[in-house]
Amino acid sequence: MFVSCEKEPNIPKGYTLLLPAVSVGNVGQLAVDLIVHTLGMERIGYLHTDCLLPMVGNNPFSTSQEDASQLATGTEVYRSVEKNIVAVQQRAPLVRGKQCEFRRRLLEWAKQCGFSRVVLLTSSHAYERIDTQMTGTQLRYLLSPELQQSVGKAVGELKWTELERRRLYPGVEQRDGEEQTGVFIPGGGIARKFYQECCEAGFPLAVLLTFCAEGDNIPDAFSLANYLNQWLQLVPCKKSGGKGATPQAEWKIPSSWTLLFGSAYPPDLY
Amino acid sequence: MAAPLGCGYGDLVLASSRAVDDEEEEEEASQKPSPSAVLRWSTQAKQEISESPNDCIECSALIVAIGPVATGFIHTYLLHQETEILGMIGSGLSEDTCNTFEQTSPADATCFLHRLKSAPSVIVCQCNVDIPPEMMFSWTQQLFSCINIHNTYVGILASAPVSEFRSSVSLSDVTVPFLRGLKTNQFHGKPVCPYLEQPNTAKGLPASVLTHCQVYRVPAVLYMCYSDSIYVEIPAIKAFLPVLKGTPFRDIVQENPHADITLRKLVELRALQNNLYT
Repeated sequence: MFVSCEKEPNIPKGYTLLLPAVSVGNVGQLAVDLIVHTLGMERIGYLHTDCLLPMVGNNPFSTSQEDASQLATGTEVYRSVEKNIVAVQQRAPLVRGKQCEFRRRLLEWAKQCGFSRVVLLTSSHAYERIDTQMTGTQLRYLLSPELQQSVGKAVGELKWTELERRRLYPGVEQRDGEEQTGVFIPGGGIARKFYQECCEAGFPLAVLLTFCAEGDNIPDAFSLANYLNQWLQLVPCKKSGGKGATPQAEWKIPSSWTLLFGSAYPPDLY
Repeated sequence: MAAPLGCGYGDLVLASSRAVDDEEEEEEASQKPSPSAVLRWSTQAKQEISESPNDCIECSALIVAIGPVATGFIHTYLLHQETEILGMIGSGLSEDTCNTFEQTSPADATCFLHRLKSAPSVIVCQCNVDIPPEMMFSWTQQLFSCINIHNTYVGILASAPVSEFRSSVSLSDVTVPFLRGLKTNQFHGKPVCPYLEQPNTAKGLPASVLTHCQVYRVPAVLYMCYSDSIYVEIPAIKAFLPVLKGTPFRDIVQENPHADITLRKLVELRALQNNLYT
């Protein structure tokens, strides 16, 4: 699935892998755009597979005329040697019926490359929130048991809110009086199933998500990127806005974030 | 005796259950084998492949035309020369799928590979079929499977509606049809038209072919014609004319003195299909 564009493929073991899920508002993908562009990550390869729909365009991270014509494909892999991270940017959705296969190949590739952990950035439908999620921070996290052991304490010190488990069968009590609960991430793309599969495989995975609705999701992308940055410290932060507020980093907006809502309207319409 | 619920009181309508996850439909779909495209070579091409040292057809230039506008252009300005059909790529068994070498009308839903007799290392793929998204990857793999792409230039022509084009200038102020280009890193020249500006993208089969070329380091260029008509029209086809001056076309094209007549016949043939009942 991974095809390197370097003469000698080089993904050192122990790196962190950032993955976006194609989810409501495309928040994970927008957050990865901010991270890749701000850190100036270099492209090291492509995820070339029949599980992804094809898409091409010019360089979404161009900073000058010279690099504007560099072709970008649907799903690319970037690396930052300075921060020891590899990021995947997925710009096109999955082929219908191929989600299971894609998750399997992703996990296999992550194991092969020897990533120390995978961080999945996603979002969830705001209209599916339960009462306790309606107020307060809209950001949540999940850690697989493997990662809970290594970073659970560090994450605990950040005073983050873990994603609440939901009852799998509302109103149905088990014989021992306990109710079965599970992870519920509506609109989160591959997040829920990938989390379950990583837990079963004993693979270190963190899921970071925000509740949002479709619309102008730029603020949600900034919020999720700042959330991640609070933990991984990828980009220097400005002074914190207030008590309990997530520190804001100085993110650079890529050139592809123009005309997000379509072309200019024809003036003679009015 | 009370009537059973729903009997004589209209149909029972079951509310959609939140316990049924959309992902379950996705998982069911993933159990079915995914369809693949199939490349069928002509008898002569099969023999040639079996006799070649690397089981491939030699190719210095591969032209891929996708959709009626692009195939109309290639049919008029390139395939007026003498050609032979090397093969075809089949992508389904629906009622209107053509799976024989005999249906050679330019308006038929076919996907043939042609070779120019005057330039045997030039292969032209005319794709007039709507390839489903799940087959695009296998279609592309099939296309490149038996072609020796080392030292090959690839030119891809396709079209898209101008309504999909995003511009800071109002589209009513833009002259339509117009051409935009994308190229792989290995293509060292420049397209003969402006680059496709951000945030515009190309998708579908043209993107699949260009992605393959980018990943496997093949010099390739994609020309997209944006037009405002849903029908095949002469101005949209002629919008591709500048590409004849660029690589890989300029070394293989020969002038067609009957181009205008060919174009008119093509547009009339297509117009017969563009009615309420097709």
